[in-house]
Amino acid sequence: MDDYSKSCLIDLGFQWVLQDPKAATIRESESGNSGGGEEERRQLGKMIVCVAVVGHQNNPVFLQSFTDSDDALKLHHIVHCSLDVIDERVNNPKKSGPTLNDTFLGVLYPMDDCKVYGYLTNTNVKFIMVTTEIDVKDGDLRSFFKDLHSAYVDAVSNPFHIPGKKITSKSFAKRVSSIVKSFRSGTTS
Amino acid sequence: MEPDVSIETDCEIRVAVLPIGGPIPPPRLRDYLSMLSGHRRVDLSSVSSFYTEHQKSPFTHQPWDSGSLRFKYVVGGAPPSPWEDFQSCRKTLAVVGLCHCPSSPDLSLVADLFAAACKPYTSALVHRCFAFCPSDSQLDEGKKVDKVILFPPSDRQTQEIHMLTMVQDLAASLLMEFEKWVLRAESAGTILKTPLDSQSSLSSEEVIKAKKRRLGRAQKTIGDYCLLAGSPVDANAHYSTAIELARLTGDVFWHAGALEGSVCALLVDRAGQKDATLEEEVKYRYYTVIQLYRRAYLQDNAQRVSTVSFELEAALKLARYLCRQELAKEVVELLMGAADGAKSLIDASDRLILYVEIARIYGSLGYQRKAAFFSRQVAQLYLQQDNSFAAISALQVLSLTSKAYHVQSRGASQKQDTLSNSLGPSHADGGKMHQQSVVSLFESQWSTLQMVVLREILMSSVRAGDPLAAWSAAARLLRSYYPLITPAGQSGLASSLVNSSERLPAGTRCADPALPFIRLHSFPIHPSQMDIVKRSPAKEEWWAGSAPSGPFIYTPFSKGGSNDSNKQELTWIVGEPVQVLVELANPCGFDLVVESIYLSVHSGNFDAFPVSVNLPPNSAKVILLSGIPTKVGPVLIPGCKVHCFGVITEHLFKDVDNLLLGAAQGLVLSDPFRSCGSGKLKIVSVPNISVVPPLPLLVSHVVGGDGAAILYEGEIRDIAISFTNAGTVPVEQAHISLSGKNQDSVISIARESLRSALPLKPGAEVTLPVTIKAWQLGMMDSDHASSKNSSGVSRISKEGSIPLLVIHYAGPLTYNESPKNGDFVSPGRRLVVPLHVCVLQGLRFVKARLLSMEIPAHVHDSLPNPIFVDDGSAEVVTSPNSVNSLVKIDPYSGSWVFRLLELELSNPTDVVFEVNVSVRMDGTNNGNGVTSIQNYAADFGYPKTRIDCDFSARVLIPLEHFKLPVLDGSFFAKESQTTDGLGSKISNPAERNSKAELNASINNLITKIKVRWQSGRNSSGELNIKDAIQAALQASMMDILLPEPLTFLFTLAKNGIANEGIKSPKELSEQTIVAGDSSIQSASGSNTRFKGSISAHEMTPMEVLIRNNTKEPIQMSLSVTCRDVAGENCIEGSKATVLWAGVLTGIQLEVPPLEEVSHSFSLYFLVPGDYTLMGSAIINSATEMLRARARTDSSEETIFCRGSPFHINVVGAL
Repeated sequence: MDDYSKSCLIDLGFQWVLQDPKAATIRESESGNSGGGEEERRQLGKMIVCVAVVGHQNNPVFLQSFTDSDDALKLHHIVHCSLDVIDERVNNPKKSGPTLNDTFLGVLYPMDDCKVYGYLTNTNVKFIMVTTEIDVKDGDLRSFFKDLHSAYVDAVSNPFHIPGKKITSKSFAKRVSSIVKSFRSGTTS
Repeated sequence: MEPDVSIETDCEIRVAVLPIGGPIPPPRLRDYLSMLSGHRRVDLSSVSSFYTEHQKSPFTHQPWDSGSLRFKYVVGGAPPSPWEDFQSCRKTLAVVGLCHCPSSPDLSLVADLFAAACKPYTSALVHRCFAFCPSDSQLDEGKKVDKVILFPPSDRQTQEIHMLTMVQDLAASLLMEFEKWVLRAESAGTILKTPLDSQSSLSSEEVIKAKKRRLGRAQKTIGDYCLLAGSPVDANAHYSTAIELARLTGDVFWHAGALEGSVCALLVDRAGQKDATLEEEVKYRYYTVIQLYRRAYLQDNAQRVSTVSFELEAALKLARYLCRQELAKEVVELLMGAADGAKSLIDASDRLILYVEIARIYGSLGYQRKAAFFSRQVAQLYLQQDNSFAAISALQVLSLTSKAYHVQSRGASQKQDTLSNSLGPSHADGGKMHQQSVVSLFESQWSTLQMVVLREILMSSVRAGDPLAAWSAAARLLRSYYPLITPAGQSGLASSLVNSSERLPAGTRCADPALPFIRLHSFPIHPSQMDIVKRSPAKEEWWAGSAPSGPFIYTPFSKGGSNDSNKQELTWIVGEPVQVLVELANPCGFDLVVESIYLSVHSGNFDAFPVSVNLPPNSAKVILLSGIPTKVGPVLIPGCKVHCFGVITEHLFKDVDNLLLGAAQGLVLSDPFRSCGSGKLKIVSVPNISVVPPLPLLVSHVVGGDGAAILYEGEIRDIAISFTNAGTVPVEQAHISLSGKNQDSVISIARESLRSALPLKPGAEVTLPVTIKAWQLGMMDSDHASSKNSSGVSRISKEGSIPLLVIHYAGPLTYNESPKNGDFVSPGRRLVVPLHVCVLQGLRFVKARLLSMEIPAHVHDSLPNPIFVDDGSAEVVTSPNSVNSLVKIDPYSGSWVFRLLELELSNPTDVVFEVNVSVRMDGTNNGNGVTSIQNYAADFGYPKTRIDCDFSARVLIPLEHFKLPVLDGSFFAKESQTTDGLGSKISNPAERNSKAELNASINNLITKIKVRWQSGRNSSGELNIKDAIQAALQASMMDILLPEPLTFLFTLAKNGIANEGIKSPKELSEQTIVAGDSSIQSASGSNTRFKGSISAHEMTPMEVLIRNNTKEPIQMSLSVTCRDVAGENCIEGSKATVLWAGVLTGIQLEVPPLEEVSHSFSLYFLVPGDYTLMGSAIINSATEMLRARARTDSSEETIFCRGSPFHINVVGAL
């Protein structure tokens, strides 16, 4: 590396302010050596890692992670990548055949340590849930998404909400966490 | 791991392609390679001619008619793989050298070099060296050096045929070598080693095991060669044997390899077919393969050499085979499994290849986001390698991902755009955004990911030493995500922009704009002095219709046609500078230095002037960008060119508009202008701008200074305005008109002097005198003035109230250099010159009154010098010698009347006014050619009335007497009808006529009166008294103008003879008496005796003429009274001094309409002196009209009519 590059890299040593200020430490969490995190998660038990709402133009409307570790960026990536599958289902509705009118999309994105489930409303709003639980009952998932959907409808009905904009409502976030909590307790029991 | 693997990879013959000898120019090398690489597949049928069967071929089932050999060319060669015994396709079986003869003259040296280059490729069975473009000498030499195959110089097609032949020859040679190898292996056996074996400890047990396995392995390898030789059936047979043997010996790894080979053989055998059963078979076998590899891996996990890459490769091969939308789920599972396997890969480059392949398969599956994700992983792996080539690769890979994350460079995306829609007039659809850009706005919300990607691009480009890419990434990062970056980070990006630009040559352009944000603010319209007007050459008034006329901005009747209202049209002129306002915003926390900014014009007919701007942190600025149109035609301004941070970029207004629209909808992070405190601005669309050829340009100035002329109300002044043609084209047409308020105040414009100056050459000047009479200040103004007066400020100049001089002018009709279209008409221009006049309040009216005075007439026998008007109309007739008299006789009442209009004026100003009244008397040009003399009252010798400051004065204006001849019911019609309660408005023409006559006579009167004033030396003007007079007259109009219903006139009966009967009305009217000098003298009591004067003690026969002025007959009882000086009735009573004969009271008469009746009587005066005669009548059965005239309401009241008194001077007897 020549001097120029070095000087540029020094310049780049600025602080990044993302929605999650610690997201700059993505490299480690992403590059695969997340063994420690995995273990930690196993200890915590099966749980929902992340819930996201994505608008009809594939714009993120709401994204919340429920882990203690700083993996916001990773979750962003997972949610972003799972849009591929939803896009495909939206664009080729014929293929879905008997599940034509089913809003629940099932597993979108199997990963080694977690699974991504999707739900698509009639207005092309997507709900995406990332869970570390390997075996989840279909019914639990459906009721979870149904709850999430009604919470979303309530949040969007807020006259101060601008369609297409991110949901900033605290009560929505609260309601989502309570849904997540109840899902966790429901499945564990 | 190897890149680009598929199931069919197993049947490809690997050929190393090496450049040999001197350096080959890259385009030539590319050319040679493309010729070679066209032959990836060589049909066995074409090979057969080069093939000679030396021994019996081991490939018994070779499909000579349908089969083929496949080549995989590895440019630059590859180091030998440790696994090449396991999979023969990994061996480099042939080496091809490429030589460019001009750069390597010595062919024998080339041959040596080639031989040396081939040495590392131990497994290579065939070597060929191709030499291109040989010279003649080399051709000769080439015959000796047989190792080098020369391609004689010829056209491309011939060379390609040559190449094909060479490749077929190569294929045949390889085929023969394969046969040899297989025969040898079958007979003598072969020793096959893999890294697994070499690592195993050589215990005796192992050796025995290895011996057992050897056979199976040999079978597998023979199968490989069969496959390479294009004989899948043979291969399959060998593979089956190998699978059996491997299963028996528990050689899991080789089992998997053989199975893999068998799948390849199956596919090659069924070339082209793809049915479900085949797919199932492939899938089944490959899953088994993967399982076996995994088992092998678990088995040998203890060993240092990992076979996991084979498992992953198998997974990738299957995924690629299955890669279809319908099977996406399966493919995704395979790929995710492979991605998980990456962790167990030891070699970083293996992992790199794995991720590349995963990304590629995802991409071909249509999962762009997942492909992007893995591409990013690849880039990160590249970045872990600390060399610039890896960084360049990382940069390239990241550039590929940028599309999926919607952060791509505009330079890349523009190429796609230009295909779909040209950049051209993209503003045509106004505020609407392209669907694409809407989506990109939405997608831009993945800011967390996007920023990371951009940052990685920035870092990799810095490492790769690509300053332009670094600049572009930093610019995108800064422009799109400044709200998410701390000020420190922003300055860091700014300095990386600067650092990058230092490495770039000056004047480098980048497709991605950085800062500032630029939006269109407005197009300043032409100042009114330079307005451009469309010219319609057909019309005399060529400017008419070009501008909206009338009070409405929008007229529904205007022929708008195609042009919609919100799309304004703008005309620029060649050579005249124009200006455009743009707003810049710097929402970042550092000082932004814009080295230069100028309008970017794509139409190429505009010279833009650069401006440099400094933008402090978080600030917005509106700046003026100017330029000069250079050529006729439309101008397109899509944005601005900005030279900032050392790089030139183009900032499109459209982008910012979209951004602002997105910000308004809450889709984008923030509005850069709003955050800088700049207000919300409506999106301004770029109008259609067209450039027209040069036009003349008039510039005006008022001679003696452009300041406002201060005038008093009514003051008249000349103003000289000079016009200069500042353009480059002569003015050929010019027309002056007035507009604005108070247009009447412009009395005269010397239009001729302008017209005579035409054509006005460039630089020429013409002066135009204009006469202005200061207008009357309105009520508001005067109130304002009076209130201000106290403070001593009395100036009132309202911009809105001044008249405007509008000059439409134009150059030659057709411009010499105008384009071919003949109907092109160069537009004209309009110059608006406001006549700056500041009107001060002058004299003020306080009050106007009508004063009238009656002087009783004298009764005498003769009518002195009556003038007979030809037509006999009852017009006021003045005797010629009474011109100077102000006293006029009323022809009907018979009395002398003296009327004056008294104007009370006050002077609120601080100067002295002198008022001069003049009455212009309209000449009644009578038939005798005697034109009555008209003069201004100045001739009367009235002194001027001087009104000092803050004083009032009265001015008397003589009024000519006038009355209507007939008392008509129509005048009262309205009143009477309303009193009748009918309330309906019936206005017959007669009524209207009389009213109009009335008004006309008033107006006539008013126009004759002029009140002029003078103040100081220069100021003089006229007082507008119209309203005042009208007000004064209106009040007593009825009395002044309307005649009495009955008039009485006393005369002496001629020569004492009693009345000779009633005269004809015409005669009578002719007899109407007009005052004369004599009467005045007699009235003044002179002693002059007249013939026929009345003397006492004499019977004086008299008659009274009663005239009916109405259109109806009037019945009445007339009575005549005579009073002496004391006012005593001297006819009746005990002391009567006058004796009388005839009837004096209660005379019953009926007067026909508009006629006269005379009644005769005689008086005998006993005492000389002055007496007054007066007639009066009680009207019987009065009509409504008479009642109205008498102003009575009740019908019972008797109407009493009294004439004016007549004086009689009775002299004593002589």
